[in-house]
Amino acid sequence: MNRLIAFFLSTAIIFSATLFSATCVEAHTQSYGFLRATTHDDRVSGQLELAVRDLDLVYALDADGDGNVTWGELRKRESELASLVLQKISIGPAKAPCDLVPGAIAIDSRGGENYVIFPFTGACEVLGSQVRVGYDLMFGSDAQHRGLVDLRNGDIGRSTVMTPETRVAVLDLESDNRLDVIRSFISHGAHHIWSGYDHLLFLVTLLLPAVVMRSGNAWRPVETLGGAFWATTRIVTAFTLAHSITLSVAAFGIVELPSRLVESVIAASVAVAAINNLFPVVSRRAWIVVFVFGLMHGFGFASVLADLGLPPARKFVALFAFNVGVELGQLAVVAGLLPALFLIRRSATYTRVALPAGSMVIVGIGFMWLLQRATGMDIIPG
Amino acid sequence: MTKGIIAAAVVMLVASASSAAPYRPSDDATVLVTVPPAAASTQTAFRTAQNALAANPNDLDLALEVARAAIRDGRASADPRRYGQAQAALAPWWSIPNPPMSVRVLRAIVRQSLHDFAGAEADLEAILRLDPRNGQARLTRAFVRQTVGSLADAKDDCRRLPPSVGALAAAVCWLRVQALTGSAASALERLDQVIKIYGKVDPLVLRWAQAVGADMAAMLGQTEAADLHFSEATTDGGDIPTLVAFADHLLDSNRPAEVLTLLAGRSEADIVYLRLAIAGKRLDDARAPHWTALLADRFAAANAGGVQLHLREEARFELEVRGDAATALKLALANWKIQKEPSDARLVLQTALAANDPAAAADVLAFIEKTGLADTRIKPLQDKIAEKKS
Repeated sequence: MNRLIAFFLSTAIIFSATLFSATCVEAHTQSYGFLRATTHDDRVSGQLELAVRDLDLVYALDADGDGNVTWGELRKRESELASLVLQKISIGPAKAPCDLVPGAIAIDSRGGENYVIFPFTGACEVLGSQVRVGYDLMFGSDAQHRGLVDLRNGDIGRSTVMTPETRVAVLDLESDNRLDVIRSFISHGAHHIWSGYDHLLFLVTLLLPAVVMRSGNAWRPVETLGGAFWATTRIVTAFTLAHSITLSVAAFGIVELPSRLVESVIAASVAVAAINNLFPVVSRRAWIVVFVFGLMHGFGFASVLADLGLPPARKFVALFAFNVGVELGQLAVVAGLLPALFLIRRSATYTRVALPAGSMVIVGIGFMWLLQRATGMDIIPG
Repeated sequence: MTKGIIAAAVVMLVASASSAAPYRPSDDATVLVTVPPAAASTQTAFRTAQNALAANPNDLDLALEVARAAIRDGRASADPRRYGQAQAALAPWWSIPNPPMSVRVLRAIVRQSLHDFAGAEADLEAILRLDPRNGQARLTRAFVRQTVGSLADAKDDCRRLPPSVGALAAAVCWLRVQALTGSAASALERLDQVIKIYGKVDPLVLRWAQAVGADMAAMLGQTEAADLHFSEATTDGGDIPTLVAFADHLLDSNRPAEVLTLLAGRSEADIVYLRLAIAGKRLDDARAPHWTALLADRFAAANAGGVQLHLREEARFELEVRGDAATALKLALANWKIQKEPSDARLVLQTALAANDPAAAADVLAFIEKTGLADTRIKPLQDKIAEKKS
């Protein structure tokens, strides 16, 4: 009875005479969109499914106005529609969502209605276990539209419902398995050292003079690999200790610094370290300077970790694993670079050309980073 | 037979749920969906208003025009999407506590359609506070109150209807409350008289009066009188809600074949497919598994989306199509919290019996006792439950 009543009352209330043609009875069910995606570390694939009827409401598909939306009418606008709808969804961090590339559309039937399937693939920055999903389709035309989102990573799947009030959700794809958490955060940490050029460059800059010793105004090669090893160890340990401390305090929200300041100081640290290679001011107690700058680098790591999101139930484990990953990545750099430098340390080219010229270039890069981070300009990637 | 159909349904379900075969039609002329033709003048006007509103969403006049057109079409076709479109058009005013009166009226209608009866009643209350002689608002509130089982309040509204609503509408309001409180026989008799006197004034109100009369007759067990009223209510082809009420009456009188004829090709609405699925199952119709799978798909989406518009339909689906009495009882009880019409009461009793849980019907039995509802479709169920308890 309720529907009958609603029917007659709405009639009574808003219309007395003007009746819509009751012949075009094409009535159905509520409006749903389906977004399913599978994420991997740095890519995503999936599909978006929208009812042809809903697409018509927003994008007026019935080109000839005959009341039939045909495959031809849809197919002719395929690429336009695919990019329009994919612009309305996002997967990955707000600042750098995955770059979604549409595939060929297809038709499928759901609950007796035809849906358009929009497949997509995308390259992403590393997706953590907390994946942000944005869905902003149809809400402007149909406030009862619901977006049903299914996200999957390996055998972990999470679902959520998007509404006009909730157009963004963060899905927790955290594994319940501790080993998975450890493995994934070690890999994030190592990955970050390798893809975070500023940290890498800082480390390399510190290592360049590790195979030589300052004697008067000239560089003198160290005699043994052991000597070089200990010099390196002091520096790397100071760096590690420092950034572990700040990474932890930042990850638990004990201290928070503005990211522009952090990023600028990190850039400055690269330039300062390189200048110190050219005009050594600090050589014997270099580790103290490294320690101080290392504190800032830790805040930098923390912002990466914040983007990834720590799994709430395994915060400590994940933080520890991330740190281990950073150290492993760092050790790989050291292990690759140090023997090579040790071998070429005696050549005149190294101390007279490679070391100063390399350091000069690094000073330049450091200053450019500093300039762009402090001012927000886009000069070189870093 | 039942097992065969369920097995077939399960197969269809699994097949459709995995949506195994997306395809690219080979023929450009393949029709994917039919929509209101853009050529139709009403549709052109709707699209124009809709586009203008998209460019200027805060234009109240445009928003009202789009919302009205959407509701107008929504009620004729029983298409829930249309109410969502009306809500979207009214978005800038939707959540504010004191929207303009014109918005408030439409919001009440949309809220009622979305089963937000408390919200609808609050809007109508606000309208009536400012304008106590607003007949349409009072009539709407009277029926919202009937739907949620506040029969004394509903009666009060029916009594205070101003003459502007018309004698027939006022009579239907009053007599329906009478019928819901145990006086269906006298109410029907009186309704027939009123129809004779005032029936020619407004064909839409007459159609409504006939449909209400049909329900009263069915309540009294007068099958032929119900048939007669329903055919009167559907002489001009009828609207979807009336056709669905007619279909329910046909199912009650065990005439499923007539349901298939009545609803054939009329609509793709959820409420229509449910009746087709029930009738199709009883007749062992070849299309029944298709209708079942389709409804299962839709209910699954609704559940995933947290939408509770279909509890009544879903409960009947579980009980009458799938035969899952326990789930049906849960849904029927959830539905009873929202609406308390005779069909909702009946559903709880049916599912409680089927699930062998007569105690679950206690609330409903108390309600029937309190209101004095006497319905021949419900009485046997009451008796059976009393039997089980004793």
